[in-house]
Amino acid sequence: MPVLTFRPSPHESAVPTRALVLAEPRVIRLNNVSKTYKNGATALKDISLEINKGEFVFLVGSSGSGKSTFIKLLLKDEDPDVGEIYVAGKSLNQMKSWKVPQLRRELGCVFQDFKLLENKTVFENVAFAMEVIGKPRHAIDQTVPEVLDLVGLTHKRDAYPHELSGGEQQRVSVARAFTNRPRILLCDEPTGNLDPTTSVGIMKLLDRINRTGTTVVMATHDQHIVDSMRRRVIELSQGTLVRDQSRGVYGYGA
Amino acid sequence: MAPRWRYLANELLIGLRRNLLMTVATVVTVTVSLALLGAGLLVQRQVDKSRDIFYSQVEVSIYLLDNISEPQRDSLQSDLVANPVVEEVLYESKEQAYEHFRQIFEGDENVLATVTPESLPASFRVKLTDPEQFAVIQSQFSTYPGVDEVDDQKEVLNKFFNIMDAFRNGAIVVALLQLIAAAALISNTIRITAFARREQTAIMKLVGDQLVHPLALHHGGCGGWRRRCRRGGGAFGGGPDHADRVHS
Repeated sequence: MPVLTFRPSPHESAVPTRALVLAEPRVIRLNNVSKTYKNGATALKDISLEINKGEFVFLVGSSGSGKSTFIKLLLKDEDPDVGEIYVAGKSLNQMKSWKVPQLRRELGCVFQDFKLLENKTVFENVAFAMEVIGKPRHAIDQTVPEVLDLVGLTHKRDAYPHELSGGEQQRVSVARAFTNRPRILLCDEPTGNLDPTTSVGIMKLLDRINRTGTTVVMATHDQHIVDSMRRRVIELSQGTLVRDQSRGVYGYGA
Repeated sequence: MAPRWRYLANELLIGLRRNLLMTVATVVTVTVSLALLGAGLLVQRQVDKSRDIFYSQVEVSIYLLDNISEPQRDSLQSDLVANPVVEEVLYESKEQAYEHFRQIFEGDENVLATVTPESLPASFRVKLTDPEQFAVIQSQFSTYPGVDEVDDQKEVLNKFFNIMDAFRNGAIVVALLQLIAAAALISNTIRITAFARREQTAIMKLVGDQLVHPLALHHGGCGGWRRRCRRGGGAFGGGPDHADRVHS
């Protein structure tokens, strides 16, 4: 474990100094965050929580409970109405829009619909994430095969997404999210389109990535996966945080 | 951050190939419009220049009746010389007019055969200090005894210049229309490209591409956190306990 020299209590000042932020192990922190969409729908109500470095967190709740909004807030795809959000030592509230790319490089994202580029091969899809942030060619040629090996798709490196099964496509998506070694991996229902067996394969993969020290936050509906993993579970219901359990299960008819 | 010239050049080539027809249409329209605009401006310049040259040479001709008497002609000449707007006065006799005429129509025997020195009028060729002052000369001398007609060569030139002006205006109007068409084509091409790439743009934003944020282009450097991250990863290498449960 890293040396924790100072760990402020929950009642500590809401705006810590920068040095403190770097020293503390929390990679995600929300203070009294609320979000209401323009059409009046309340997505999140007064959410406060902390996620430590290296944790694996399930975000559960029925549709419309605010899981996707939670993920979007962490990506600074949406801004909260009130409350403070810190991700990877940065305050998202004060972040200028031109600094958002810097933030997203420290985050990997995996979505239910894979979001792959149809006209690029598996290799090119993964390389794309490195190309757009300006990695040199030799670094790409070295790293991408390593990551494809990690997700078990070395033999499909020249296939196009439409030639792959759903599970394989999601593996490509995970490889792309992980290839720049993000500190945090955000997954929005990554197994939502996959059968149970394939889902287990994806979960093993996410677990391996988590073991490298990457914090994983995963929004999911999959009771079986949550129950079998026994990791921290955060449950949202109609935008309110109703449960935060370490080593929890999916819940009771949630 | 290493510049992504290769990546950008590659994407540019793909984009050009995919929208070849649109690209050609845009290039042609812009070319035509700029060529027309240039032609219009050249015509304008030519007209201005030749107007200066021609106007400096323009003369007023005062044609004399055949029956004008010596004293009448002398008084006419002295009045012309005394006039402040007159710069120079030349007398052209019937013989000189015929000589002039023969020079102009040299080699064209049919025309020359119909004209004798007697059929051409004698005239005063008057050069004005300011070609615009023709009206003064006309009102003063057209009623002189022995004067047949006061003729301004500028009238002939003006017809020519009017045609040139119309050419120029036409070229500029067409060029402006073409420019509007080119602007529409270009903006439409950009919109089509952006629409075709909205998926790619969304993914680029997700992985933190700075090109999507033009303001951020100058802000490079992403190596630091990765090194920190790797060190941190080493410290956390053990991994949580229940990882193997996923197999069940």
